[in-house]
Amino acid sequence: MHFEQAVAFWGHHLIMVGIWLTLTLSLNLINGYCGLFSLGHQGFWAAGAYAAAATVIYLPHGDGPNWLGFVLSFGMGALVAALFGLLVGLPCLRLKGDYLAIATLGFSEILRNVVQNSRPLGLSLGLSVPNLIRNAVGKVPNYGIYLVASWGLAAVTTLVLRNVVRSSHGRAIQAIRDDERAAELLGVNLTYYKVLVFTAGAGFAGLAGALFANYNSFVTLEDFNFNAGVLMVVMVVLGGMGDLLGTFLATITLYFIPVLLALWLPATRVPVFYDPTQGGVVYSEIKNLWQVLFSLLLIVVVLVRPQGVLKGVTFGLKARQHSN
Amino acid sequence: MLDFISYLLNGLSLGCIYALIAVGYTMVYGIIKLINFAHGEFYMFGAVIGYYTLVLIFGGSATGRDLSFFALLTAMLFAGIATGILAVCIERVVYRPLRKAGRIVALLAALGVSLLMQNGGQQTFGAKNRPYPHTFTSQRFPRTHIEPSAVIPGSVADRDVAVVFNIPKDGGRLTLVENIVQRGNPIDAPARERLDAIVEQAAKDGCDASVYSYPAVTVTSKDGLILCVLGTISLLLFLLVQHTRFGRAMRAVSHDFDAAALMGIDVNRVIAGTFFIGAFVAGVGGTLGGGMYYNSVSPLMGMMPGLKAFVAAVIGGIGSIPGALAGALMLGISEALVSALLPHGSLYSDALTFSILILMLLVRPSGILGKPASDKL
Repeated sequence: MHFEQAVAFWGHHLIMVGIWLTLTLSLNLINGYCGLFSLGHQGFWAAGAYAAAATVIYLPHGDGPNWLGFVLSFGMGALVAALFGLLVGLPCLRLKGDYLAIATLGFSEILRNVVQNSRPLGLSLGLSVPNLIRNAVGKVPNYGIYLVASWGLAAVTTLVLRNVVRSSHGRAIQAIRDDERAAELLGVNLTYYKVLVFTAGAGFAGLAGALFANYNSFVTLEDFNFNAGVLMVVMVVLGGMGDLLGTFLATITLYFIPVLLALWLPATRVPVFYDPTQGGVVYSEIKNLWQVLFSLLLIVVVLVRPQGVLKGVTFGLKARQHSN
Repeated sequence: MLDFISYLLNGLSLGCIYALIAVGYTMVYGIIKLINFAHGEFYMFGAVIGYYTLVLIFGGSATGRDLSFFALLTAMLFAGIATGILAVCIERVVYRPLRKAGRIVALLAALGVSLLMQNGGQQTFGAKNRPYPHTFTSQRFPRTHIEPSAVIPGSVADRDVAVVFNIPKDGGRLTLVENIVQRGNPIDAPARERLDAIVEQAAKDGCDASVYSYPAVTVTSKDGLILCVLGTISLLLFLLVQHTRFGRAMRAVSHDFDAAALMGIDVNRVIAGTFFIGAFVAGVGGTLGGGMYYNSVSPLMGMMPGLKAFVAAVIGGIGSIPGALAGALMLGISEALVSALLPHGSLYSDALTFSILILMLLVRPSGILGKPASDKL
């Protein structure tokens, strides 16, 4: 691999993993710390991405780098996603557990369906997003800037989450997870905190969406499909719900396994199936089997260690303050 | 008005397909409080098994001769049994160990099973949509046999007219339906010429061709078949649940798991049986709905119908079989009505479904036929 190719390859994946970290960390606030099991985080991500894309496209902008528009698109992404979070959070107050999961999934499906049929948002074809901070010379994305932006965003999310969790608000949020009724009896304002958690989580997902839209220069609904949502949930669950370090490690691991497999595994084809209608034995490339292995892994982990693989593992880094 | 009735009938068929999936959802939820996310994949699995049965045993193809109803019934039966067995295995390996682990954990496991079946299907069966083997040509009923000479050019047609003829193919026959005139359109000379040409050509080829006229509202044989199958299955389920020992055991386990176990009911067997029945019905639905009705099969075909069937089960009151049937028919009909009444309405059917779900969860989470659940402290 040539040096430039290597920069492009690893630069891309490092930026993407920063975006995914922001997503899983913010989902951890909703699912892990507050115990509101949401399956609709991809919807907030999409809302942020589309809002940012629309801002960049429909605001007048010149030819040169336009930092104001760039920053504005992030603001719009966060704002619109947070509004969606509010919209989802309010009606979902009365729901919990599996019903809540389905309702949040329903919300993201409604959003997908509406975008799919909205001409200004590019129908199902997607939107091409002008690169506002491109170099004057080429069209190559500025890996440096986006790398700093994506990991900076992940770091900010981590810091905010860590501080919120350790504050009295965080204790209230975790009390809701542990026992909703007891928390309410102790004076925790359930409505306030549940809506807050949804709004804040969605806002961060919106920022990740804005970053993705600007960096990728293209958004389609395919990027934000249900499988992406499931992957986020799996990252949070495998890392241990309500565990920042675990989420961090699970996200990086699960993001890079398929990338590395695609890079290192030879293009060997192995027989996987016998199907006379396809002319006999069906072959598949080994690296394509990762998706199957991933779902098997999910089932096995849920069976063997339902509290998450990394929950409670400290790696000798710090003493645990609270043992769950 | 008459178009409206046609839309209603379409919606009814769609609702029947949802109902075949929703029944399993609701039975499983009623008995172990698990949202079996993989249930939509059982529908897909059924369609795949039906596909292989029709292709490998009966030699069907998408463009080939009409297979018989017997072939379709066999495919449905095989699909049902294979899906049922698969569901029992999945229950034994994945869901049973998690029965006490909490509902979110079980939901995750179900998501895992669903992903496994989708991804596994894509790697083995192939990700592309495949056309389903041709089983029979859908014809409209009621119909009246008329002579070709009764179609007089120069007037306005008050009924639809079509020619139905059989051509010999691959050692069997293939039925073709050729529409000549649509109701409300003028009958012109070319239409009459086309009719005569088709009848003449058919006679030359040794096919029997008949000209039929249709009233404004008709039911296609596919719609009729789906309705009949759903009717039969509903009746059998009713008899099973209300009038057999197994049904009584099922109701007992659903009512109170631990008490039923203490009364000597083999809870594991009842749950396995419930999974088998629910998956059997979904598998039949896959062959019938995905395969015969929509004429395509792919590893991802179960996802949306599965989610919609879940919505149907929630509308009807999850845990209640009559509720699931009612909810599914309502959902199918409302989707068809929105398509009929709003411009581009059919594009928004997903948004409609999930809006109904969220409204229902907010206004009456127990559904139209479910019992309101009290929160136990």
